[in-house]
Amino acid sequence: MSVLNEYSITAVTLIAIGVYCIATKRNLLKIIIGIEVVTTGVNLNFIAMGVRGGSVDPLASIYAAISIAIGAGVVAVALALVVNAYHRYGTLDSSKMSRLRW
Amino acid sequence: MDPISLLTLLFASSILVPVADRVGRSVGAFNAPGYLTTAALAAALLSSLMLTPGRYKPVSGSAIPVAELKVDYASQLFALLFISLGLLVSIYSLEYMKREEGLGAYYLLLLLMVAGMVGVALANDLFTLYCFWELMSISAYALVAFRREHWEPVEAGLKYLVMSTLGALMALYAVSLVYGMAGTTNFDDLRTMLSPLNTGGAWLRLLIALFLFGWGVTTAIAPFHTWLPDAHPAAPSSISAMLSGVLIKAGVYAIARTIFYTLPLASGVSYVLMLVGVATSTIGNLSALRQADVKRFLAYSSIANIGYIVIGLGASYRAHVLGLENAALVAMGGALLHVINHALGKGLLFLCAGSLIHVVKSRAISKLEGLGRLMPVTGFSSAIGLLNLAGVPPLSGFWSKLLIAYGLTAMIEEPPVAIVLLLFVVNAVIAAGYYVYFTTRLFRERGVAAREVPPLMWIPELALAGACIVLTLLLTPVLELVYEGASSLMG
Repeated sequence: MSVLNEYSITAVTLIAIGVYCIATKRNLLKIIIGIEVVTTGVNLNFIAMGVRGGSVDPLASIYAAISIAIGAGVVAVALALVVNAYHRYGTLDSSKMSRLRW
Repeated sequence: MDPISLLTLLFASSILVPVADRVGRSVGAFNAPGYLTTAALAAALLSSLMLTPGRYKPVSGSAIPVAELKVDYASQLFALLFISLGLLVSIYSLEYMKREEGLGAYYLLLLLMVAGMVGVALANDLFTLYCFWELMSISAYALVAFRREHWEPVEAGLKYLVMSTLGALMALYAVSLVYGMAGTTNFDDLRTMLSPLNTGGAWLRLLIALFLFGWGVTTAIAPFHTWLPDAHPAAPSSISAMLSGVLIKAGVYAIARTIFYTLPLASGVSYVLMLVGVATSTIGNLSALRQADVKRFLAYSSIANIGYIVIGLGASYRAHVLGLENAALVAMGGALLHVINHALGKGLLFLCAGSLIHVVKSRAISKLEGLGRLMPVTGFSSAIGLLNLAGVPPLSGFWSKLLIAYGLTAMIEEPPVAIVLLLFVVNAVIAAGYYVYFTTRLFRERGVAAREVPPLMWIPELALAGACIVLTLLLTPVLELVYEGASSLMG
């Protein structure tokens, strides 16, 4: 089994896009979308690693499914914090928040 | 006692916490969730003492090997540390948090955070470790932002969330790569599989780098430490004690478990660890020097102490590569002893800082001068904690640093190691200086009026100060346990 196939290359691309998004965007929602994109890339990589000649190892699907659930939990907490930040500042721009040094 | 019942106990009681909150509020007992949490953690402490070593599968007879838990000396040591600090923080919160809104959520999150940390310590495969890791982290994000009506906790919580989640996802990516290479994520299976397989130098280094980044954000190693000095002051002091005392130690445990125990040795990693450790402790110590806010001061000194622990891990790794098994064991033992010392000492100091802030309603160090005389128990406990972390000789904080330094001396003929040893000693001296200076400021003669905090707040402080002293008195048996833990982490 090869570690490199078209799925795992797509996964790395998604992770790179997500990290770029987190690093450059100032809007808090876009940063969270970046986190989601990285999560998707990592989940895809589990499936890519589980390909066994035409079918996917059930273990890989289990890992991906659990990881999707955990990712949803993280994003829920993140969005709750963003709502609080929005109520406090009236903006989603992270550069307007005095102490955040991203 | 098996670890599955221990985790079931923690999860079952965390389901009961909201119920206790609802029932307690209807009869006017607002602290009911706090008492339930304290009782659950006390029961968990007893059962963690009685854990039987071995490997446990939550689902038996399944065709797919999914999750596995394992108890050995190292995981039991860490689980014990996490639960005991959680218990003391829970007792402290009974008084400290009683006027806050949303106590049900607070205690639920606290209990889930402890459950997550215990799971991290007991997990025997990478994916289970990740699941418990996220449970611990999600609870920690919400707890940092607990006082959501203020701006500082919300900002600090968001910053912590983004950095730590990105780190955890990188670690998860490494887990998926390990799974792709070996077809399993079980620690013990990976040990036997990866070594003969010879994963190839570049892949192995990539994995180690991803794990170091992933767990390293929560561990607060440089350059990923920037969330910590914002998050610790923003959280309630009881939660700062949990974060600084044990949450960052869960990161140390995860690094040691993956890099030392699971993956084969790779050359060069030891120097990276030592470099990161020296950078972390230097940044931490130099930044701590110019802090006027007591909680930021303690947070930076936590970063410095994480640096010492990582230097110990690096020394142990280098000695392992060179085949100096004795020095490797001593350095790892020193790192583990420092984990215990710092968990007790820094947990104690954050609780004391919480009491002092509670009394003067200010976080400025200049406002805390002289309070040590007026609040005898808090003053005595903070003095013990400060002197322990300063490494004043009879206390055990001195011996853990000495063991790390001894581990480094075994390889003194290598120039990089000699430089690391020099910088380590310089850092330890700087830290000792500012801890002792802080202690003298606390006991200065000042015309301020203050009263000792209520017993529920000073009892945990006194218990932790007592633990620091007992650790010193029982140093020989404790060292034996720590060495057992170190050898089970190194395999």
